[in-house]
Amino acid sequence: MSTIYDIVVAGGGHAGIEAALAAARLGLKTALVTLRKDTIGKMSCNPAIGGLAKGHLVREIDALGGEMAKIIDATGIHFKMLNRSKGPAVWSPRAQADRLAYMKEAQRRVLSQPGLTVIEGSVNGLVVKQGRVAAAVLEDGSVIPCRALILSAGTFLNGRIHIGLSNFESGRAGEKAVKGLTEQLRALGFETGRLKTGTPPRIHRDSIDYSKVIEQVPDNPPTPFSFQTEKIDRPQLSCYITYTTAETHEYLRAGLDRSPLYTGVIKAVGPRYCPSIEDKIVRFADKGRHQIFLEPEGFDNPEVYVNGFSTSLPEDVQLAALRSVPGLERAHIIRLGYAVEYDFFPSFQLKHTLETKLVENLYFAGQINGTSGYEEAAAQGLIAGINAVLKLLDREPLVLDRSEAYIAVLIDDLINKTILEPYRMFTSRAEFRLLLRQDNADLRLMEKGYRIGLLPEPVYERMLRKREQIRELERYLQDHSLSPERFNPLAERMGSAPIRVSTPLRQLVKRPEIRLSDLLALMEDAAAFPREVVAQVEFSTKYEGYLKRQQDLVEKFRRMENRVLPEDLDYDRVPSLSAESREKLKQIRPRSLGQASRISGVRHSDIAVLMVYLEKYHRDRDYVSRETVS
Amino acid sequence: MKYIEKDTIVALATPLGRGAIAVVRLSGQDSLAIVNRLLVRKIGKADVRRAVFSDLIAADSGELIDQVVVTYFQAPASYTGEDVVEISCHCNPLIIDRIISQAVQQGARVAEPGEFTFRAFLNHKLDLSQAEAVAEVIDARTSQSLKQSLHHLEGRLSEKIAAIKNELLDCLSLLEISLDFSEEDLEIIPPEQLRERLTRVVNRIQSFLKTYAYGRLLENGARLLIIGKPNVGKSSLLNLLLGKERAIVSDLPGTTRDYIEAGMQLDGIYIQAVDTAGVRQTRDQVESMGIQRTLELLKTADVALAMFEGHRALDADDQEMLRIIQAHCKETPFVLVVNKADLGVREEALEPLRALELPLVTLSVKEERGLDALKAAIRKALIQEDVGDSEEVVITSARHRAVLEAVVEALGNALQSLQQGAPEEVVALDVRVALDRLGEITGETTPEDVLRHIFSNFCIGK
Repeated sequence: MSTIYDIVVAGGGHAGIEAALAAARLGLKTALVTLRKDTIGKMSCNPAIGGLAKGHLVREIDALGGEMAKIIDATGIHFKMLNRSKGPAVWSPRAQADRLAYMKEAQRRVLSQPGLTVIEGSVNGLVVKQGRVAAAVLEDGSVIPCRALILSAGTFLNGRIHIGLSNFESGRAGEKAVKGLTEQLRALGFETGRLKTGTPPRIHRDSIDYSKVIEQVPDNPPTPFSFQTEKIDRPQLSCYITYTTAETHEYLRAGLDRSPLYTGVIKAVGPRYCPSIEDKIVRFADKGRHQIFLEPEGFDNPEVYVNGFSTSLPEDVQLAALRSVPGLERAHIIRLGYAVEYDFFPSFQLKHTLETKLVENLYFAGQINGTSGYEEAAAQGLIAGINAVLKLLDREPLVLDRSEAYIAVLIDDLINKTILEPYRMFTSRAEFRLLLRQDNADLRLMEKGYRIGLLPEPVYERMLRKREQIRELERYLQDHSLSPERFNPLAERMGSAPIRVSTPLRQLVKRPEIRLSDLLALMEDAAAFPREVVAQVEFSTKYEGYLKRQQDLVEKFRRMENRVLPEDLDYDRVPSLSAESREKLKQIRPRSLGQASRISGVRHSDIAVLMVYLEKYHRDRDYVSRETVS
Repeated sequence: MKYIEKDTIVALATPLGRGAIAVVRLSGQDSLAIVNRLLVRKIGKADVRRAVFSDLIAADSGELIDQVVVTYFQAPASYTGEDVVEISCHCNPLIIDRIISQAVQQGARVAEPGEFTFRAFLNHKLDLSQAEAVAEVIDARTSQSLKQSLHHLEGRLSEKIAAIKNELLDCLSLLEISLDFSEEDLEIIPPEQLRERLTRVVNRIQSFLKTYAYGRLLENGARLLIIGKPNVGKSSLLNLLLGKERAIVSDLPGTTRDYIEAGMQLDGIYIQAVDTAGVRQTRDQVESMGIQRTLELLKTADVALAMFEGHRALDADDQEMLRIIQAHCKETPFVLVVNKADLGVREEALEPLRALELPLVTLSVKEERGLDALKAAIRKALIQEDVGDSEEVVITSARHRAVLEAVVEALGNALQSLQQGAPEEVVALDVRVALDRLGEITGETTPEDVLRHIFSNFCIGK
């Protein structure tokens, strides 16, 4: 009889790492099953963490006590805060990683984690007893008994790689696919679909003519991802920008007859926000050039990632097209670009805890839920890991709502929206964007991370101090004024109107051209407030009106979320629902009217019908109980 | 979306047509308190299910609005199962409007269509077999804007709203591109251009909103008042407008002691024309009461025709008329009608009238001359705003108007943010609010719609 694990995590990618570490740290006996130990934490595509909206996810993972931010802080070679020219709500950190170092750091953390066993192999099946997970079955037939199973298999399920018209089974370049698991899950009643994603060629850094490309320098000093990282002192590298030419487009166009995309060999849908280069020249034929980022993959790694040039065209076309790009005339390809098709499970089959509705204690996380991106995967891994533990310990689940975190937007969208292409996070998906900033992820989520038991107490206490200081500073601005003599010189310097009477600081900060730090510098008795405290207060004061309107929308949202739909609600008995809405509602079984209103395919008018029915349902119950009393 | 609230609602319960009386109904726990604040004769518990006659006044000014009959139904023995008060008033759209808006001022909310029936259903006043029918009513209601406009306006209203929505979606996606795809090699819209586009949308909605007045005219009709000194030809003009003998015409001044009403059509607008008692200084009690009544009617008129004679200088009665016009021309549109052109028109008659700077038409009722010019002037006075090319699509629903006003307000905020150089995401917030509100007419706009818009129009992708 082999050991019984509390939790088995299948897949050692970014989702698997978070899930396994969270489970083990919360004290449960955990096993991570991965094909090879030395590919744990591999960055299969872009060698970067973060980016617009994705950076928010990483900060949230960190605030809950997850790992990703710390790994990238330890291994980043090019940090940049994106969108600095916009408002603080959409600033987002991004960093190029030293790809090998990232992988090694992730492995170090996983392999040194007490209570976490790493097993080399692949989960090709599972044992379900009485509707509940009982064991994971490996390819070699061995059975690992477990109480919960988290599936984070990435692109490996029936993965098929395409380069030109040739294709072969593979989960990732050079690695074998996982077969049989999808089939078994389908037999258990799961619905599956196919998605496609792609990756560009990697070229040798010494084969680039750097005189013809534009250098992009990293931020100095770099801003860390983790609230726990004091400072980043690794040496940094530059990225480079170049553009495709008319000649490039000709080569690509000439190769279309051997494109698996355009000859119908690939049937699955790829992401619209990350189209292949051949897709770009076809769909946007009148665009004369496309931007390409050349991203180094590390100090000891000569590979350069050709961002913007994802392709599944044959080798000769890839090379010819690439070499027509300024700076890449003598490019040497180390690895070819390719497209990969894989199985995914539409997430309407999941609860908000990421547990499947069909099989108890079975969780899905990451790309198999139809997402793309390391950050999206890691966020799901963390949530699945935490909830698997909480459930086994009979504790309240962790379910965030859309006004609390991007992570919640991600999961809620996955469950309610019909996934037709790999899902990527965007700030525009977050309707409460002004509240969900990367700079306040700690204030939003650390309390939860701490209560769950993942976030160390000192970190939590530091956040509490920050919160207290924010209140102090707010009070200070309310209670203190500046006289015209003191303020007007600053006003003149900043092109702001002079004041005639002593004016509260709170009012002065509201002027767009006046910085809070400058005002505080004029005060003799002002205590020194940390920069991040000043930034929080400055934002909440300057944008007070907008935040108020945003808050109104949150209230409206909450009211709908609080209209809970009874678990025993029989949609077949609700009159007047349209057939499509009825089908979707039965499939997803939303928790609330609010959720129901976000389901793709549920008509607006049907929400009203549901509202009516719900009210009737409740009043009938009250009515019955009143009748019984009297 | 307001169906679940338990507040007090008010609405016209009888069809918006022409009839002797109309019934305004309130339902909810505050119904009685609200109505009592408007009644001179208060209703008490003893009045349950009794018809009570009372003056209905404006709560703030005490001004008389109408004489009404009020019936109070105590919960649960009422149509909705809640406290219900029914006010029977004279069937005049303006009176109905004022009663409803007084009730709203006192805390009632204008009911969503079907809401009385819905409350009845919730309170077990309708049996379960009717449940489905009610749900269907509600269903039809919530998608009403689309369905109804398809019906009534052959889709042009929804087209128009959809066009506004599309343009806003366009603006929003341009903002979102600069936020979510700032790393892409895309052209970002300059704030100046965005401001222009949003301003254009606001202007479009505003000119659309202006059609509401016209839409209401189409829906509710207009009230036209004819005033003037005795024997100036008011009743004859009314008859001429009606094309039939309706008012009693005689050469004796003061034949029309109170007033006479008649309905007519003018370019598709239903007009309730009112011929009033002549204006003059008089000691005759009956007659002066009639004049008093005329002044009251003036307040609720959509247009007033002030009649004079052109063949002789103004007399004392005409001077009285001038005073009345000057006192009321701010709130009521006037058309000055100079009659008896068949007897000649003298400059000293016209001069003091021209000084009023109001539209002026010279005609002869006797010779049936100048009628077209009068009709054109009436039409212009009624439809003050230039309805322009939106003439074919007008807003008739107060709900649509409220939504569009909210949209304009949100866009005003967005424009102000742009003006102040605020970052894109806060500008986007208000554009989203605008789209969200617009969604109440056309159906929801989701972030998915925005992204779809972006992906279909721009080459995104690293």
